[in-house]
Amino acid sequence: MASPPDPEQWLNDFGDSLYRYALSRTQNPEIAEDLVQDTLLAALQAEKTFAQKSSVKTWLFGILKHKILDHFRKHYKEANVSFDDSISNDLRQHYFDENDHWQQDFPEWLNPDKSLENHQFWTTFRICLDTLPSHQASLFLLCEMEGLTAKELCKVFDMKTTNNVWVTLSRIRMRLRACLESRWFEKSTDSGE
Amino acid sequence: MHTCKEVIDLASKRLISKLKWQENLGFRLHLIICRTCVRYTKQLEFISRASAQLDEQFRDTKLSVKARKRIIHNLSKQQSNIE
Repeated sequence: MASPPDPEQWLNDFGDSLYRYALSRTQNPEIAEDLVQDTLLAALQAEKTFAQKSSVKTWLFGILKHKILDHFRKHYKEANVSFDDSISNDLRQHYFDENDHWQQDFPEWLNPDKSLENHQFWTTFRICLDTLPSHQASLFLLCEMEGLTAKELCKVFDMKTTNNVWVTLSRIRMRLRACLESRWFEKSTDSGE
Repeated sequence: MHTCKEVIDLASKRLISKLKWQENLGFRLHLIICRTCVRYTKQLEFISRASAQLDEQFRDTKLSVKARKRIIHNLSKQQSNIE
């Protein structure tokens, strides 16, 4: 016989890892806490249908992933958020000449992968993510961390075409690149000399 | 021939999706002649590698005691509703 559900045990065993997962994708502690709670409540309700084919952990994370996407879907449904932003428009104007070729060169980033071991780099990385409008940061994180396809991202963020997704991601990456360059790589090159 | 502006969009697109063969060919040909686009492409690849490690940066993060209490409270409320 199956033992009765013990949601408190679920919380003890997986609460922190569920929370970390939700927080890294939403970048918002309150939303992440609510998502953990919603996940456990949904699990409690659906406990009878839990097939025991997977581990409790896999099952709970499966529910959480759905909850995260649901959260964004609800948030952006008919919100008409504009993914166009003046900063990336300015950057593009600044970078390219009238023939759409570079009018400036970038410095090489020296040993960028070494930065991944540096605690301060990660602080900078997160600051750069914070400089993005929140919907852009979410789009980027769901693409990079959740591995959502352009089609899936279209649905979650209520965007019209996959082409919108490509262009928006390109602009987001352009901003992140510029931010990391000015806040990290230019500085670390200076200090390395 | 692609412009640099088109190439940086392709450099971003190819990180999550396979390019069409024409796009891929144009992209590769452009990189042969454009050092700045090569650099830009490498830097985007780095940002993608970094993003894949973001999870690890949260490894010391924990649910607050307050949130934990609130969740337990709401769970037991629902549990008693079910029973």
